[in-house]
Amino acid sequence: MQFFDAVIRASGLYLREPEALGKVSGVCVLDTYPLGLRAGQEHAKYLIDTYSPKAIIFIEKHGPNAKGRFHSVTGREIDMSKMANTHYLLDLAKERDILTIGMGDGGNEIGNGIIYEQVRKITAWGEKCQCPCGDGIATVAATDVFFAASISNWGAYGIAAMLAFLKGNVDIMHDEETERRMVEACAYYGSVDGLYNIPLPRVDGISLKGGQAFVTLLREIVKNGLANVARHV
Amino acid sequence: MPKIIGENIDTLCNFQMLPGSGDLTRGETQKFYKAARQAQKDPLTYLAATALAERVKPGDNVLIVTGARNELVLPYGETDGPIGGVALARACYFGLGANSIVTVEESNKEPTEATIRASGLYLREPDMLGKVQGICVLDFYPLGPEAGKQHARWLMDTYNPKAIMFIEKHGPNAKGHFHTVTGREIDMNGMANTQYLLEIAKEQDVVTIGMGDGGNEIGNGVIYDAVREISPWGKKCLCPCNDGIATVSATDIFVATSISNWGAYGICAMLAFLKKDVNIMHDEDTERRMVEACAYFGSVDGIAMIPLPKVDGISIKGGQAFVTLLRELVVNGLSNVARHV
Repeated sequence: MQFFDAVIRASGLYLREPEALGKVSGVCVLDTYPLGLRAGQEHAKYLIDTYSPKAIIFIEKHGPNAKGRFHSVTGREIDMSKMANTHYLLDLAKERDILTIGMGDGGNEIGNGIIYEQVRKITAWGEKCQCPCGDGIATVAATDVFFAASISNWGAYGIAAMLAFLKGNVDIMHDEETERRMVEACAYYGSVDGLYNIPLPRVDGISLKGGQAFVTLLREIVKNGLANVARHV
Repeated sequence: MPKIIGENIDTLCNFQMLPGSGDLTRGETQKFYKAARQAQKDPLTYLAATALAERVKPGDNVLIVTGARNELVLPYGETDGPIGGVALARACYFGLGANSIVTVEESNKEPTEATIRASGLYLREPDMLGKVQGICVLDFYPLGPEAGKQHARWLMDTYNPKAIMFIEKHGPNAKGHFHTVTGREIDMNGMANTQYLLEIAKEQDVVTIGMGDGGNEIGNGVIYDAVREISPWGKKCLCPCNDGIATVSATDIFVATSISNWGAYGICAMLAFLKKDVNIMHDEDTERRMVEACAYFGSVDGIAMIPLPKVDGISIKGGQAFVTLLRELVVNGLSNVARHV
């Protein structure tokens, strides 16, 4: 889990133990979600009871199809006993009226349940996957708000930018240097680029420079959106 | 694949990051784009770049028409238009081996010269055409309808261009009047009447490509009815003609984007993809040099209306980021990644 550590450190947030919550500002606690169904169900309850979050945000987290199976975007089955079954958080969130937001770009991530029918039509493996279940990769797991973006990270960045605009401060979203640090840290500790499948400091094939340019443009939208230019025409 | 790239280039060229400012509204450009797509079906930058690639051969001339003029508020024009025009001139040379003639009102001489120099193209006299490579000839389009009509004929006869590109060049409405985006009349005797090139181009089967973001520029005739609906001054302007700002001037291909320069850049990027060389489109340093040069000699930022090195309120950094993303689109589009999954 070194790369999660590393990304948090690179972001400037305070990587602390849970006891620090409420005592110090800007804390980010790193939790480990266990693998498999049973443990997943229990951990979901534990997380919500322990931390009482006001919002749950899922970024590119696999959700089950109608037959309860998980798939990669290329239609291959993902063994549920070898991944975190985080969709159990959704039922609890609904019971307790906790806001859920999903981000994904493949049709198989939590949140895509909102567009289940379309995913089945649109994606190559939407209706029929490569595994015995034969029911396709589209997930039924829906969130209250689902942001479909060309890469999941960009969905998150977009929300950050929008929040920055709403709060009148562009620095609520990260900058180009932070972008570089986070991508480098993540890859350094072994997270792979989703296209090359080796730990290049890229995201879905996009270079650091490209990612930084994207951050620049988001920040420019916010800054310009907040500006009021004097014009004398 | 080319159409998919074109689709993404179109998308990138159509987001807005304008600053807020009094009388200017937002959101129209995306509607113009939608209408332009509906009318032309395929991605717009794809259509323009493929047309250029088909029609323009090494040694051919292309004509680039741009420039704005108003004695009081635009004495040296604005940065949106000339920079896109020069970027296209560059791409036509590197990508197609063509020479370019850039025609602007004489009042735009200094900033346009500067932009051409900053781009790396060779600013030379017309007699050098055909003798030396990478030439850009700067031509001055006279003011007023009569002279405008004659100059159009002269340009076509003299240079025999294989393509004419209009970047943010005002076109007349149905009553023959010209307007700013905010509905004010532009005296036709105080501006270059370049729309006369369109008829001759049609006669001679020369492809015409228009770029614009306000509904009143040459090319927008392709979406005339939509502009009348969408633009706040579409149907009813502030001048006596009272027929709105929408121009009837249509081009063979109309590239609608959130700022006109971006339409030009998008076409450059698409051409770079088609020709498999990202450097057919300019880079971030060239971007900086062109914007600085243009503003240094008096072209104004279209939002602040003073010669800040910006384009429609967008900073150089923002413009460079945009160039980075276009180039990344092309480079990634051309690459083939080995994946072993």
